[in-house]
Amino acid sequence: MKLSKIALRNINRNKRRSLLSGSAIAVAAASIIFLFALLDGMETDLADNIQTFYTGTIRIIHSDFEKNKKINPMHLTVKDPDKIIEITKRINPDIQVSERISFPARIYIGSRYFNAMGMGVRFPDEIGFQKIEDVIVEGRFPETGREVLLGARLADKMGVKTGDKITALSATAGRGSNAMTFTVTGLAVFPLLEFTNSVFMIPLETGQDFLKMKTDVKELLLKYKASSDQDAAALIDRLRNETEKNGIKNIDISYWKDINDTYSMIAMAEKMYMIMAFFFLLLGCSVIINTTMMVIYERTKEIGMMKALGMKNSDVVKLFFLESFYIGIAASAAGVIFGVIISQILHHTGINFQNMMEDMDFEMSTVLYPVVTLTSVVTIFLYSVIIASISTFIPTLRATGINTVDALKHN
Amino acid sequence: MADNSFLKSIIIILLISVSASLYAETAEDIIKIMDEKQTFETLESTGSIISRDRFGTKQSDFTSISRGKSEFLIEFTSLEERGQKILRTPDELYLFYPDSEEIIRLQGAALRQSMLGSDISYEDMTEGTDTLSRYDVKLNGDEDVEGAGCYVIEMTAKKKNVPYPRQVVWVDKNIYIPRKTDYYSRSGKLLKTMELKDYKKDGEKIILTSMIISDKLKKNSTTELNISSYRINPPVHPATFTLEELTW
Amino acid sequence: MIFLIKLSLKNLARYRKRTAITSLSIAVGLAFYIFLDSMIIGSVYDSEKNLFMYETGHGVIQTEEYWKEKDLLPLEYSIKNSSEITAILDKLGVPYAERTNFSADMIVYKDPYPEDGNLPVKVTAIDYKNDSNVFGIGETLEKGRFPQNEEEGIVIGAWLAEDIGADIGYPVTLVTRTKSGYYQVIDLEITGIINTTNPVVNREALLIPRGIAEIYLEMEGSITDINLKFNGSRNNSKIISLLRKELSGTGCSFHTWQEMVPDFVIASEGDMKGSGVMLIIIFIIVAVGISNTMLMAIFERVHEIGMMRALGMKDLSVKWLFRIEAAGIGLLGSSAGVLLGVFINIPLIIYGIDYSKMMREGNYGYRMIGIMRGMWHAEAFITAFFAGILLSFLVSFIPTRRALKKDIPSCIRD
Repeated sequence: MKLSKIALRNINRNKRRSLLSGSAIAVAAASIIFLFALLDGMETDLADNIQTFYTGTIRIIHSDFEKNKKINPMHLTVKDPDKIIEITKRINPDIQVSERISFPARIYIGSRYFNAMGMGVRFPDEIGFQKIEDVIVEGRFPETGREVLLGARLADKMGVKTGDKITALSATAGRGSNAMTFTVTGLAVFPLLEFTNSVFMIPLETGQDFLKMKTDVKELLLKYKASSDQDAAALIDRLRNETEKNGIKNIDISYWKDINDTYSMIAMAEKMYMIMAFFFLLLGCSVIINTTMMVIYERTKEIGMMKALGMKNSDVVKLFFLESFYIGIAASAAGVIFGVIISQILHHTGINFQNMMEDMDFEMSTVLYPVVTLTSVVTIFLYSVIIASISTFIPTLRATGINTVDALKHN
Repeated sequence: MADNSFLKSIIIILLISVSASLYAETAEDIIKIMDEKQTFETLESTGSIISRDRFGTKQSDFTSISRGKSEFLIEFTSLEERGQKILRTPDELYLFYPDSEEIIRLQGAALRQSMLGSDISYEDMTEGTDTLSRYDVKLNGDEDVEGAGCYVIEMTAKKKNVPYPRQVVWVDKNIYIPRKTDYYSRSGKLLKTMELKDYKKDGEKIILTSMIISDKLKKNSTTELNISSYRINPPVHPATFTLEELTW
Repeated sequence: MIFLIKLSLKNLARYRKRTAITSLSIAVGLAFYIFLDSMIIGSVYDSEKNLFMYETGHGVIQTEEYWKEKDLLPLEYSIKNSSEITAILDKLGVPYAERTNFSADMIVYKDPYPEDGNLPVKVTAIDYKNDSNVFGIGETLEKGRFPQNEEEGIVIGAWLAEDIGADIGYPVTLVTRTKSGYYQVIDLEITGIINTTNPVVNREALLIPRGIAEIYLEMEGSITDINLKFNGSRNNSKIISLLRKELSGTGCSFHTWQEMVPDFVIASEGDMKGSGVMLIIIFIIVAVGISNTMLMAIFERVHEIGMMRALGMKDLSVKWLFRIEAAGIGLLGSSAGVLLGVFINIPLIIYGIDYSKMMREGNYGYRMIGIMRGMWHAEAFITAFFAGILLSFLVSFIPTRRALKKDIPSCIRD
């Protein structure tokens, strides 16, 4: 009788044992899938936040801005954003564009003042770009004119409510200063704590008016799904060529990963997540090995029986290996599928940490969306099958009283 | 004849005293005359500030009304800052912005910020024309500045609440205007230089209509101040230099 | 009961391999939990240490007016009666460092620098007599030396030096104001470059001797900050309340390090909570792993359960027998886990995980560079220990109840 048939029959004969051993593998695989999805989700989230709030996938700023950023060079603006947008849309109409003016400002309320970060945005565009409607916890977003959306913590610090007025003073693009009074139309809790803490958002036109920028903006953020870094680089090259051809000067077009401060943040998170992932694998490993070993130890008597009936040691080892291999495949598949299903469901609904957090002190988005990648699915499936199969060697080799070398020789 | 010699001696004494008031002066007198020539009961003027630095050139136009030594109101008229006002009362400096419902009072370190990106700080504007109350002055010989004979006067701060501990001013011997001023830091390093480019005489008074201020530490950084027209002693509403009036 | 305990111990000894494997699985899970906790606590502790060592100390004494306008670094509100304050600190036995922070425009010229430039900076004047009581700047010189107390020298952060292209011997011009408001220009020569483990310091530090600030800024003996370090706890509430009482009426007040750097506190609080969520999830996985092994161990013994009941053992006794056994396994596993945790933690604390060069750019509140180290955190060990025991104890409830539901013959048949 072929060993594989015996193995399958053994699995069938003791269903509960097979189920338990399999369930350990499945649970391990499912949790690792889920945790990897969570980690990937966190990383995606971080990358997404950076791209949404700071750099876009591609950032266009004045070519001298970065060099002079320490002296707050408000006058180094991007001219003719409409033309750049037109060029961008011609290259790829799916690219989302956010025109922004970010500026350090001081907010005066009576004799008190607070430092804050102002931001002029096109609110209707930001609905697509940063899902601005989701961040509003009170009131509505500014429409036109002198209306402002305040980060909730900033409002709290200043003791300001919806409907109140604040006056902001800032340096202008004309290299002078200007102050403007705004009415608070709403409060926002952004996925980034720093924003909730210090940002106030005003309509772009108001910002241009306030900061004497005419139709200029401080930066253009382009967001799109780059299939690869090369793909993005190609797009940037095209953008550079096209803008140059159209006579647009003094702009710097950068890929978000090439903007120093942000990439190091991702790199740090990546390393951190890799360390965690490694330990998750170890943890899963220990669960699978333990269960498999346990099952075999329980069957030491059976091994003796098989040997007494004249079964060769190597066949015994092979038999147990095969049993575990089959269970491993079935269980890993079940586990992976289960993990993927859970992750996918949560990917759509999101996991809301807000309730867990009590207040809004949370660095990452309060709603986290796990992300399943093909790499992690394949890796984890193979990993659990291999671990489950290999872990049979230790107990069976010992139980059959031979060493690995002999087992291989007999093969 | 006795009468004659008496008359003569009186004439001589008179002549000497008159000439003393006109020529052989002390540094205090020179500065006093210089200040007086530039102090008006009220003065209305329009002009511009042009700043140049490594980022380019910027021009801001303004009209200004001043009263006495320590009150003025400047309103900017150029597009970029149209309607912005700076009010100086004897004690405070206020900024008014047309889009703002709050009037911003500058105090302490905020006064040290540059006005409109120029080499002039808000604090510099509060200097006024009451030099002797703030500086001890000393005559340090004479020198020609662009062909004009000048007294060289060294000014040392009396009190610590002024930005420049030491200034050297070249005062024209004939018309008592500052042809050039050097501003020094506490450690004696030259910070800024003001050079007079043009002026207008109006009776006893003199209006400095064009001057260039250069920052000696930053390269290629200058600010030009030009007055294009002015009116001496125009009627000024008494409430002009009050906060209530500022918001109008 | 004693009988049950004895019996369960006997069982544990009898099924040595099973006991070993199950407790091993608990041990690995708990060690994993301890490891992650150690990393998280360790990195927070490390960045706090970097903050204390180079930026804030455990807190600062400033005049009340200064604190209100501290963003502007207003020298006019410096502490004039510093000897009165330091006498209080001496009396309380609190180590302190006297510092003066002021804003300046730093000007550099082409040749030797790559290009002309000016940037707004914050300069710190340090008092060599007592700076090392609180801060660790002294040991961070990468190059050169610290200037003498009245020497016109400046020490700058390594990253700042790299950014502006500076090196030892280069001139630096600072345009600032004296305490009373006079314009002041200070020409200094770079005598040293420091490289600390605090990114903010590396990126921004400009240190001059107190003697130079005294002369050029005409401080008349005053200083802006008195930074403190508390022995033992960083938030020594007893000393703080005592200090606050002593300071009343002096015009000065004490502010904790948390008040000084709210951005840092927010970042680390957020991170702690984020990590807390991760730990909860990890704990759940560990729990699943443990319960699975426990379930297996108990299901394998349905036969035995039937036998015991057939021999007249009461259901409750059977239940407790298994529960005690489970708790025993939990105890073994927890002990092993804690030991394993200690074992993993040692290299983590000594060597750490290398992060180097990653914090070069950007500022996200965290003060940490280079190596991420673990830390001893008793709470995690205790939590892990008891959680392990409790978990395996609770897990044993389900299978025993199920085994007891079956009738005795079918149990034995199984």
